[in-house]
Amino acid sequence: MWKLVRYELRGRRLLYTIGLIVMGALTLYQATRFIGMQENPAQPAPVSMGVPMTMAFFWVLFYAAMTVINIVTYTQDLYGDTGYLIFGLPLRGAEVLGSRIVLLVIDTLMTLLGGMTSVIVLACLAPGLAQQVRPWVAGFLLTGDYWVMCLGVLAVIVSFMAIMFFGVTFGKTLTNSKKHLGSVFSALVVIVVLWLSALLGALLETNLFEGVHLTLSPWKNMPFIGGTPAVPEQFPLVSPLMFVALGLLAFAATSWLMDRKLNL
Amino acid sequence: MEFDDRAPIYAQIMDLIKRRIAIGELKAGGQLPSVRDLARQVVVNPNTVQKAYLELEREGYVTTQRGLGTFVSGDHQTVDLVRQGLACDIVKAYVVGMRSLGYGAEEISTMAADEAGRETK
Amino acid sequence: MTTIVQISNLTKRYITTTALSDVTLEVPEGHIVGLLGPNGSGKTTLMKILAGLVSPTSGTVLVDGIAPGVATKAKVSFLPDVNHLDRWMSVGEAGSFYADFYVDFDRKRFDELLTIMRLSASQKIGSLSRGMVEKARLSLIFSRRARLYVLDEPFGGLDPLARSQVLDALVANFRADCSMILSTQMVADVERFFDDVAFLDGGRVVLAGDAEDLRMRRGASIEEIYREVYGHVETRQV
Repeated sequence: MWKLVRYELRGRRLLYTIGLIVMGALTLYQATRFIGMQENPAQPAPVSMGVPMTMAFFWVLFYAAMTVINIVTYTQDLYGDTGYLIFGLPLRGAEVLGSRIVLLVIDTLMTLLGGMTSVIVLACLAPGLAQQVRPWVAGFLLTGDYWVMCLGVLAVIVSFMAIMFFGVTFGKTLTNSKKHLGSVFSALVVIVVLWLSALLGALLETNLFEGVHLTLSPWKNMPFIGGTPAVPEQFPLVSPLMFVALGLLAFAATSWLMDRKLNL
Repeated sequence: MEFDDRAPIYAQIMDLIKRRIAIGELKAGGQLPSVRDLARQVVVNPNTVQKAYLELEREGYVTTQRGLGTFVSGDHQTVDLVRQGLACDIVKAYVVGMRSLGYGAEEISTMAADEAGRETK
Repeated sequence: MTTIVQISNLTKRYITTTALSDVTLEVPEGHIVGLLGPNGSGKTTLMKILAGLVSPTSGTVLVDGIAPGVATKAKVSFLPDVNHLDRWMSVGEAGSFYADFYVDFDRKRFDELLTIMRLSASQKIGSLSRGMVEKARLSLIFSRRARLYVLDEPFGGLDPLARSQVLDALVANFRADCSMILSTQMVADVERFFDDVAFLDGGRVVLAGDAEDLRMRRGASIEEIYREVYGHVETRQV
């Protein structure tokens, strides 16, 4: 499996290089702007947190592009001729799928760490904001809840993608080479699974875990963040955990389909 | 190499070897090309060549020594016999063909003698 | 003699069609089998099942004694009838890819075959003509020292010179400890390579046997038998 990961990474070298350079350039640009503003005595108001946060938005865009490429490449392999190469390799289905998941994890970690770096650097340079933020940064970085939340987000994203991979694979095994029908099927499967999992999560929360509040408080060391609808104070754990369970199930099911039910 | 695909190829390979023995290209005690080499030369499945060699051995024309190769068996007398055998086949075919055209025995002989006497280019 | 492929009562059904119906076939070690039949007769499906890319509906398929799966993929070298390589891969990179994943890949033989086929390792697959892509793919497939070679239309898109180069490579690399199944439309040009032939029609085996035996019994070439079996005249491919 790791050989496959290495090949995929090598194929992405260009994409990663361009992406990271662009992100770096954007951050640098904004940083120099902020420094310029600091030195300008006429600067009236402190910059809001929202400005560095737009940098995070660009990181997410980059991440979305890479994830889309990830699943599109998989779909092309499944429906197209290159599938004869990939699925003809002496690898188990779990390894083929696993290589895609590893790629996803690498992308997620890269975006998370890169995004955090950009945002924190900018927040610490923005006039007005910097004074507010700097004293809290160290404490924030040590907030266990925050890192657990990041892990949770990673797990949820990976599970979500696992469900999407399942949808694509399931669509293919049902309809074989009729490409468009298979994609429609896949989309339907994904939607149904997501809807069911949302239902199930809500059910579980209210019925089983009533009274048991499993939540994280990732922002507790950054008092000025949170309380806004965009950044909730607390991060619930039950729904994500259940979603991860579904993701694992989807992974197992997809691997099984690849090994037993594939008709390329 | 031209073979007739309508007849078993191995038999035609056998004929090919016999011919080579008859014209002296393969001498008594001489080594036949390896199965693989001949297969590449005449462009056929090596198993077919192998079968031809086995049949030739069965009929006594060649002997195979494990690890060393296949060799033409016997001495120059065997070679003459092979030559004669092939010649008889050709003559028979000639006579049959001529008869089917309606020629009689005398004309068959005369035409053959004329053709044989002609300077070959 | 060991049997490399044992297929018993193999059936493959899709929602709307049946690709294979009750197929029984055996391929002994060291044999070259010709899988013959018109388009849609089930040849490609059968070969994909042997390659582990399609799952059977019923029946048993054994490659070297085991059902198609991860282990058999390491022993079966499959040439699909379409280009299965990434277009931006170079010929050399494709070789490295194969070398990385297939233990039986012989790098030296690959380089030799590339030289014979007049291909350069630095050329990108996407930049090659159809015939050159075919030659590149064949070089990859033949560079593996596999137990079973499964070739789907290996001669399509090849000019007569390339065809004879491939046939020569086939004979040169012939080993008694492996077998080959190949399908082709060019029956006349290739029939001398078959130890056995199997004629498929509508997913069924309508005739099978030793090629020389068939020639003897029917007094006809395999190509002529093909025409008899399918009942129409096929123009001889040049």
